[in-house]
Amino acid sequence: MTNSPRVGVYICHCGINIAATVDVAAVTEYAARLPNVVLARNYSYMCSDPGQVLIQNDIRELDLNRVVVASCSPRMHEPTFRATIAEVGLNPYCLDMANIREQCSWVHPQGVSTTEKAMQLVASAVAKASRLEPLQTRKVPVTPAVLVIGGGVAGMQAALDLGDAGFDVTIVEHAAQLGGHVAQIYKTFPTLEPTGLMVHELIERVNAHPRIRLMSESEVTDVSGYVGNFNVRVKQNEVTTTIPAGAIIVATGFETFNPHLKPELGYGKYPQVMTTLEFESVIARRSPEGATTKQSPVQGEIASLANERLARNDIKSVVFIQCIGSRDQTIGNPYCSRVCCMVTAKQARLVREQFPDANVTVFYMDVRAFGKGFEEFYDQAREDGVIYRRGNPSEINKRGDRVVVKAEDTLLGEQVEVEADLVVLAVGMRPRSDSEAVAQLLKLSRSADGFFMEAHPKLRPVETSMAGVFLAGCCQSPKDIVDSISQARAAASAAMIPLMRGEVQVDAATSFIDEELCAGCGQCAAVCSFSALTLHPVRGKMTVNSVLCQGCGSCATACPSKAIKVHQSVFEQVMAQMDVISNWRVAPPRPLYRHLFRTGKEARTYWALNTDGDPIAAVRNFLSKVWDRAGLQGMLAPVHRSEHEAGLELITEPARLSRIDPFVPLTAQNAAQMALQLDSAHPYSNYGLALRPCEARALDEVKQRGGFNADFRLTIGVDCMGSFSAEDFEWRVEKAGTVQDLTDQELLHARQGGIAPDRLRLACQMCTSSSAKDTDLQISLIGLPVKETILVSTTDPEIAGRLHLSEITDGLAEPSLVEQHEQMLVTMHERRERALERILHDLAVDLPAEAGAWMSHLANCAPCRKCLEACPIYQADWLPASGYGATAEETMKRWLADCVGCGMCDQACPKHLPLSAIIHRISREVKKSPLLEQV
Amino acid sequence: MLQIESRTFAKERGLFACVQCGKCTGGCPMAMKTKLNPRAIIYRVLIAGNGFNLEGRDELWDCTTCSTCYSRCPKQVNPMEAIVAMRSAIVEKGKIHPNVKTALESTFRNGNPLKLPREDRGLWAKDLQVKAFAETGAEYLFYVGCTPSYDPHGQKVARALVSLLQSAGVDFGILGNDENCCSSEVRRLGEVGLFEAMVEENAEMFKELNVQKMFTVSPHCFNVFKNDYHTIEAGATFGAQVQHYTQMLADLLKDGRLKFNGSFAKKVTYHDPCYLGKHNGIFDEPREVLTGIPGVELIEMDRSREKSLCCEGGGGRMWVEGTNPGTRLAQLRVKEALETGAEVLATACPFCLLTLDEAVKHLNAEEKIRVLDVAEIAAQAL
Repeated sequence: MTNSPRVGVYICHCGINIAATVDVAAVTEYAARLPNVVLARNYSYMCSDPGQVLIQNDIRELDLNRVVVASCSPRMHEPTFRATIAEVGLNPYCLDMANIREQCSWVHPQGVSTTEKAMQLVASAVAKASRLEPLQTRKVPVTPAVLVIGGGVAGMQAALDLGDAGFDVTIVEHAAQLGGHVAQIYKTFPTLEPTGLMVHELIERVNAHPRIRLMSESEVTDVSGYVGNFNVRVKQNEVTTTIPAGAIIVATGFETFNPHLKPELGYGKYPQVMTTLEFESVIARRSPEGATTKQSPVQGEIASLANERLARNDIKSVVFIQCIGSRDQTIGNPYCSRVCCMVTAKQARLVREQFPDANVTVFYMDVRAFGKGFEEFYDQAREDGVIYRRGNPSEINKRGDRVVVKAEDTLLGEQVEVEADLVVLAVGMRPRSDSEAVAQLLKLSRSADGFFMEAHPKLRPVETSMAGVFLAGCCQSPKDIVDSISQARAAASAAMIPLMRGEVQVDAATSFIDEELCAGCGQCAAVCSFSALTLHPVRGKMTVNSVLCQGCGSCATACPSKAIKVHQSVFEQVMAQMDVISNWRVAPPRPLYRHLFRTGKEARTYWALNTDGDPIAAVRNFLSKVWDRAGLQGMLAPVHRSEHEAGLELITEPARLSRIDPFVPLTAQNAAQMALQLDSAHPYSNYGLALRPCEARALDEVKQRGGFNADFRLTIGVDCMGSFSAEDFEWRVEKAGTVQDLTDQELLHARQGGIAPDRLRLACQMCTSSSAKDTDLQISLIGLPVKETILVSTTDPEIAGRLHLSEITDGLAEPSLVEQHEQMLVTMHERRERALERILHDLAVDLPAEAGAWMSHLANCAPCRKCLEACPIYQADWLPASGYGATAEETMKRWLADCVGCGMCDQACPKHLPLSAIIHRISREVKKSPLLEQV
Repeated sequence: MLQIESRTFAKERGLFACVQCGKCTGGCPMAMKTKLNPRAIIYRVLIAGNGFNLEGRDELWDCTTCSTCYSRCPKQVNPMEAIVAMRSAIVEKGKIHPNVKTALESTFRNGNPLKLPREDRGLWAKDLQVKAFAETGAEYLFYVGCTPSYDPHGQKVARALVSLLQSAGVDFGILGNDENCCSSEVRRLGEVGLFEAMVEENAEMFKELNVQKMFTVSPHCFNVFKNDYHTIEAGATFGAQVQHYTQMLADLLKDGRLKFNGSFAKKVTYHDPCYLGKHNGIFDEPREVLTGIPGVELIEMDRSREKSLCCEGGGGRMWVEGTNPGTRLAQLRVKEALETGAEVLATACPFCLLTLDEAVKHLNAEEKIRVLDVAEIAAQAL
């Protein structure tokens, strides 16, 4: 695996889900030009086998070490693609996904800005992927036991399946008895079987099961741990016990809708009005079979009235009303409760059966008879004489000792009144009122309707977002008995998967602590919902239990010292993503400048620029013409800030060009470093950069590391005879008069190749290349009569043509001048070599000759890192290209070997160490070192 | 042809959410006696393609805007507002019932729909030493409204309220002849242009006078200030806190500022005005006031609170007869009140007061039951 990131980008069409809205070809083309990207492809379904093979082949053939898949939400396919790349030997954590479906194509209309958003998402993912590190997953053993919360039919069935499979099961039930709501039901639909027998059998089996432990009248008070190893605290009779479990099944059931919330129906006011559940137990009492049915707590008045009427057989009219508390947005229950239509049909049939003379009217909006045998059951209800009237009654009023149901029969289009002895409200299902508390205990999500949310509505209907916690029955959504049992058995088998494997894999994307920064304050532990952080008793630092940690990142935000990071979302990764998005602009169709930083061996054409005694004015004039011809939006160059001050500035107003001075002998800031900042802030702006040779070299190095995009930068190299540090410069300006005077003084020596080097900055004394030949455009003055002529040159005919150099200069240069210039460069090179040798020789007196010792000396200097911050290359090195697979030492060596000698480190060092010289020395040694071959 | 762009109309008013359950029509007091069928009208708009003809739909003028339909709808569709909007389309075409036209013109000219002179508006308070809000300012603006300003029974209510508030030491003032119609009924009759002009005028005046808190006699005025003014651009500057007087009285009672020295020893049943109850959920405050009066025995009718039967006085129906003037809801309501054995039928709305009063007379029941406003009853117990 190589050092630098090699990213492959795969853009998925998702059939037409993405491709119909996002221009996938444009995104692909764009992605291919992003830094570190080796190739980008698009394909109809990346998650399909051929799609995955495509990725695997590229990894093998192109030596990719990071993969970005731009497709759907990572919830679904991140595991898929992690497995894909792991199969061919890439660490599974070297993957990032850009969600261009849920976050883009599904939520925006087709159009340019949608495609651009997809580009942004991809660019952001690439920025993160380039900084991803390989992580190792862990495996932990599993407790072969399950805790089931809730002892209704779903909970009991799940417990029985798990017990039968040989696992220990504990059922925690808040009531005294098992059976839940189903125990209150007299007969089932669509089979009209006595429910009591069925529930009874389940309860008996549970009670008799050797592996099932029942804890009735108990409740869960706390859940800790993780999939495979939960510890559940259960309170029973004021005693709390801890039950270890490998998995948890939530089967907490539902509540019925409270019809008091619909005051116009008179529930609680008129004893004739009752709920389906109340009616069920009223009617059950009339039958010997019903004796086993658990009685629901029916209001006294309702029960006595109903019983009395039923006893007298004085039932002439019964009205059933559907959709009470279902499909109703005003009370926040927009959903259909799914069972009420059939419950009503069943009860209506029971009334017809027991009271053949009674009129039975069902008011309905739509009859939903979708289950097996349901439609036939509904058919039978009508054939039994149940009258279905379409319309949802608006109110119930009193009339004598009866009530009258007011509705519109919508099929007649008339307002109707139906008098009734009994009105049965088909109340819908609601999430239990303690749902939020349970959700908090188990960290479950709830859907908008308040029921617990499954991990995926289609593919993972019994799982939750918490690994190891499963859902069964009506706590997930309204269900009938069949569906509850089905889901319970599904949940039981899903729970068996980790139990039977015996071990679970723990995600490696956890948080980790930088112990140097950690103060052990414990603020992280206070916010951790998973109890994953503890204080190390000896070291006094926090430690992360990476098995408990779910990688949520709360601790990282709570830490006041920024000592906590989360793998896969470390600060630098997130910031890189944010930088890309916040600085993103519409990408231009093609780069403006392609011909930068070449070998320097191409044929070079020189033009002359007459200076008429004022070289600075001539250069200003020339650069403003370049500005116009190239259509620049800005230029980074040294300017005279005032008569006595100079510095680098990003010029965005052409008028400011009159203050430009590319020859000013000052190096207080580094143009390369500033150019890098521009790069991230304005990647696609057409900017010119006036660079000294050392700055041009630095940019070249950074570019090779993928940290600099030269496509939209016109680089202008300027000959440099050496410069002064800020303090020295200030003193010399004072002596000379103005900045202009000082520059003029220095230029006087251009013909001879500058002043005696020992007056310059240390790095400049050692500098052996005074001319930046690898830039787009070159301004030369060394060896030239600058008061008369200076030279402008390029190796790029396209640049020459675009800038119209033959027009904005004074024509092709005389060969003799060019020769004079090149000859002086050679002379200067020799002169500086000698200076360098002398300096290094002097250094060797104080320092050992062996490079390793030098390095350790450097490492021990003082941990202020100011030199590193000042170094334009080091910054690029440790940010975008921080060695994937490379040790810090290798990175360090690579950095040292590539030193461009700008000397920024010298100036930054608070101890005034001659760092540039030291580094130059080490650099020589390192270049000889075999270790460097890997670089 | 009186066409509306039905598709746009349905979309803007959220009619596509209608599930055709019929709860609106099932509860509609007018559907009992006229052709008005809110569900069916919505259905017809939905299936009309892109043009729905309002010609000949006289039943649209039957709606009393009692909001039973909206309060029952499980899908949050508002048939009442759809009907008002259809009225607007008719009014816009200039096809207005002559009575409506007169009322609207009078509102524009005289600041009241009753064709009564503007300069008589403040007469009722001449001898009452009520602050002139515009001159002295006060904590509360007492917005009297048109009916309590001009109608004899209404004036009694306004005077009763003044005596109650004075005895409780509330600092309030009135606008006198400068008071202008609130325009609630203008809006319900569909005259959008006039409504906006009136809102702008009133909002401007309230702003100039720096009205921070105000209360009304009529639930209709209360509702339009509370719920409609700030929703249109013309009323954007309106920001006063609005209360119905029963809310004020209930608070004063609770705080002990309002005390009854006398009593009112009668069986009273209370009729919930639609614009107080169904529109604004104010059911308890009027009852709190009534039960706070010594001697009052409050009996509830079967149809109370959310099920209260509309008296047929809202939605501009004070000026439009509707298609079945033979049967009056107010008469049904008085019969319901009589069934309870109550001696007094109390309410808290000037329109209800008028319609119920008339129904009592029509039923020759003046001996058995009297219609009184909550404020009148309370003032008698001071």
